[in-house]
Amino acid sequence: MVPTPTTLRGRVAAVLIAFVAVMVLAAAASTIAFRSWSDSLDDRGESRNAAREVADLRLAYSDQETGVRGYQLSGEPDTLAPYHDGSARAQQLLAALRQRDLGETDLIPCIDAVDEAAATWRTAIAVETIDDPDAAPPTDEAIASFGRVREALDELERVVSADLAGEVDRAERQRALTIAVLIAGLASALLCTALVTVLFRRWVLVPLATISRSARRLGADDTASLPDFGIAELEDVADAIRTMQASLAQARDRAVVAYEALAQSAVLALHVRSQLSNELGELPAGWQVDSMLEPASGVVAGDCYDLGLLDPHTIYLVMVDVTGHGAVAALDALKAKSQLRAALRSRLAPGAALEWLAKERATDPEADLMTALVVRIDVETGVCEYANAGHPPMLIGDGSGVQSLEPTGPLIGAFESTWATRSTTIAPGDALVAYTDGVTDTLGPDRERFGDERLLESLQAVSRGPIEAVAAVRSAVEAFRVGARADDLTLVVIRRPPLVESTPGETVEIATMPA
Amino acid sequence: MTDEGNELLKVTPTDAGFDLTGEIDGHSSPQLEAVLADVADRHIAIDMSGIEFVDSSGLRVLVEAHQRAEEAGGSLTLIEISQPVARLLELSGMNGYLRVKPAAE
Repeated sequence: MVPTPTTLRGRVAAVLIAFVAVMVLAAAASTIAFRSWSDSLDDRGESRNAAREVADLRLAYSDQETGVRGYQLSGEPDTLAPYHDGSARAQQLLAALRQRDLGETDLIPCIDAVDEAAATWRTAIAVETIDDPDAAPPTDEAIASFGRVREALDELERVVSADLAGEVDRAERQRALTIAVLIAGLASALLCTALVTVLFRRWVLVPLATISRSARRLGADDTASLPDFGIAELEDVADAIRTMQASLAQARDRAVVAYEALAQSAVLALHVRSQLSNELGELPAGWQVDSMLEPASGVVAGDCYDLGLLDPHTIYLVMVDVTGHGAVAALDALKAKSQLRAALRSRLAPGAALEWLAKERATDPEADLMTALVVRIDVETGVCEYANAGHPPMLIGDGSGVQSLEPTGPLIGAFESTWATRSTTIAPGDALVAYTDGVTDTLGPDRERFGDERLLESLQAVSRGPIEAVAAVRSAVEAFRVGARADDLTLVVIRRPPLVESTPGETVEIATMPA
Repeated sequence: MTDEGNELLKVTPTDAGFDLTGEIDGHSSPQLEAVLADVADRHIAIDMSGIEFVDSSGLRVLVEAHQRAEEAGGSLTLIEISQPVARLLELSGMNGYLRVKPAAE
């Protein structure tokens, strides 16, 4: 069962919401921690101010007590200034302390105790002494009274100091907590970013890379199937690629079929064209000819030949082999063959015909390398003029003894050159054999090639006639061949009639023997 | 695409160029063509002592590689060629065109 793909948009929205939620939580926690830390710092400041005011209050009461004792000793009114100043400052400080929000329940009772002890001292000691220094209360009573003020101040200072210590400790704890929250928030942000990156790579980048590879592999004719991505948007793209794969595969198959049809047609055209050469009917003066052109399997090779009469007394043969394969090479071979035939009919010698063809092809950038044979034979004298452009040597003889006619110049198309026209004579009963390298290069067992020796052995049948010779070569090659035919097999055998005895001591050619 | 060409022809890079073993025919010549496609501007020596057979398609690859090298300022020299290959070069007339150094015998 194939799972229903979720949409990329839905996945991205879910991840985005989760990411934003984590960020909001981290920000809220950080804000709360900051505020708590700030509050603890405010409370610590309040406690520190209270502690300073308690210390100032102690100084204010000391000033009052000092002023009263000074006045008692000197009687000078000016010495009462510290008393009055201290009294005023004490009232201000007490009022300020009462406003402090320390959250300490013992603070107000302690302030009241100080105020009360101070009031008792002022009424019983200070006012009495100021009114009449000589009638002031006894010293030990004054000391005891002021001692109670000091005791109340000590208690107030203990309470305020304890509060300050607590606030300092709380502020320190809040600071550590705030730092921890900030680090946790930062870590969460980094983690979420990493998670989003991983998911983006898994959901988008990896599938896109897979699709891209698959699309590129289309160019290499590799239509490997795409996996199911489980994401709707990417499935759409993958489906488009799959459709394109199928379309290209169909187009390729159609092209292969079309190519094979074209190849078949081209081979057929070459074959028919060459076979037409065998329908010349009777050659003059008893000359015989037979030929074969067995097309290669699965490819269009570039062999073709033409055989005919230039005039009633002259046989011509042209044979070409283009090194490339395919329909273009085959048509190129046909064109070259026609050009050579036209050159011969213009009375150019074989070598000159090749030079003219080479010049024509030099202007064609698409022209491939090519080997060629051009032959013309005088049927009366057996004189054979030929030129060979890098083609396998022609053979001449009666089957038992064979002469090899080597090339008269290089193959056509590599570089500028000239091709000589050479001449030999085909003796009565001898044959001229022309072939392409497809014959001798035929692959046999153990990757051995058919070769020259097997060809010569088969051509011993030439003494019985061209038809027998061609049949012997064909059957020998087919018996030797292993695997498909890799190249065209082209063979032409032209035989001059043998001499026969008409009267003792006289011989005539068969064709000219009187009826 | 078949790997038959790779089985027929073994191409081993050497300091001077390449060492070829096997056959250069219609199946393996595209492999050689690909190897020689990018070295036109270099002076390359191809050891042909291990080549037992070259057909016209292989000859075409060698001729075209030679022409590309001439145009690009490089060179292509066939060294240690065997007797069957020498015979093909002689018949085709390419022994005076390609740079050839026959096997020392």
